[in-house]
Amino acid sequence: MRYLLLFFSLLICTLNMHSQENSEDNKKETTKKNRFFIGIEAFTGVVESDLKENLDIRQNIEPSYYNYYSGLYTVSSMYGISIKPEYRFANNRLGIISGIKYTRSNSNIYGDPHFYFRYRTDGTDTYYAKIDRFAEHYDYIGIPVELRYFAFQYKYIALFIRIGVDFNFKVNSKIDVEFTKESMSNVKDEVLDKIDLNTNSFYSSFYHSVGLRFMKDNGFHINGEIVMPSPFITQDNFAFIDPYMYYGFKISVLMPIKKN
Amino acid sequence: MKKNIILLTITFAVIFCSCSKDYNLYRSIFVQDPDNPGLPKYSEWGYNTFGAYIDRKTFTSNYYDLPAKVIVRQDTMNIIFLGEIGYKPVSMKFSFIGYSPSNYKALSILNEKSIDLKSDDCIVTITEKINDKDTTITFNILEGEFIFNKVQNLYVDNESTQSILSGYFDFKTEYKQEPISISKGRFDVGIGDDNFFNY
Repeated sequence: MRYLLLFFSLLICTLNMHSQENSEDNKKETTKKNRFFIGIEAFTGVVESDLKENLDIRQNIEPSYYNYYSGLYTVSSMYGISIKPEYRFANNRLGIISGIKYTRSNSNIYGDPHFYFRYRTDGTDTYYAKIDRFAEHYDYIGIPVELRYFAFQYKYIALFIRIGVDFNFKVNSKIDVEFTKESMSNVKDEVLDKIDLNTNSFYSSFYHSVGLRFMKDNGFHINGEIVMPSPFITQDNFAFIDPYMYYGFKISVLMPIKKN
Repeated sequence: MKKNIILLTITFAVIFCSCSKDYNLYRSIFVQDPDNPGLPKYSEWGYNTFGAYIDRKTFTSNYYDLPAKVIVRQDTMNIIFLGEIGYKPVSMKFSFIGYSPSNYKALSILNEKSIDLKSDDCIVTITEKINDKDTTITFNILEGEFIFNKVQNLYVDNESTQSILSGYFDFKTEYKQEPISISKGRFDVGIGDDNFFNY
């Protein structure tokens, strides 16, 4: 429903602005015949997720305290940087973009102030470790494939929408446990053995964003854009969480590549 | 132009407001059983909850009272569940003659034990306020069972902390001159130094 709302509002805006566009501005833009650009882009975003259900985590075990307020919370995010060539066509209204990108995704599970993890069951004996934080991060190198559409432009400002899909390969990962008591670090391996650490070595997502382009006289572009809630295509990219979408902010600088 | 900007602003606001999520997985340990509304889901984590249907009413632990105590006197072990029926405080006591654990760790002898509530070694009472007075009624059990499905000695950071008693109970009895059914009873309570008494 949200996407439909966005789609229709953008459509209405686009149609309206087409009719309002100043013909002189249009001429000014179309005279710029730079079709190739190279850009550098930075992205930061928030990952929305659910905690994996198969984790042996318990919140509170004090018998005399009904733990109504304390709990667990996760903080998950992504950020990255990419180098992206862009080819413009259709009177500079459409652009095809690809390139190479580095992405780091991470997730942290915090207790309030700690949580309990069941790491051993031996007959009628059950062993919990008090844990302050579970942390994981993954580094990916990937290839994005994107399409950018400039919905309208007014003087040096243009509104664009971008859709894309990326294909990323894991190059590094790290999973860590912070115990409340340092003396418990001797069971770290036992704790990690209870977690399925076999995460997917490939991750892909579909994303779409809306942004503004600011263009300078010399052809440099500065873009700022909001990445709309976007789904992950692949699964099992994290050990502790099941992500279902992410959103964020991108900023990029584009430089025209002039033909001789 | 102005209209467009307003429209876009509203759209973004709607989208981002609806996506924000305060992730707090366990605000309460009372995890409702979807198959038995009003009762906690059966668990073995020591969530300190219990619940049962008394005919169609629910008798459950609440947010304020210590949900369970174990009191051992001489050769009798009493397990007391303190909760409420329709916001009225009610306690139910199961007395098992012939069990006398010396401390909470010794409760592990109850692991996987099933007790016939109709036997002479069991007494079940209910205490509730009637006309502002605590009134205790001893049930005349027609049939029923109390099952300690799992009893765990819990160690936190390698220190013994409590015993977790998890299981089920179910019985038919007479109450206020009427036969009633106490069904789907389940409990998952932690018993430690604070709520184990032997005197």
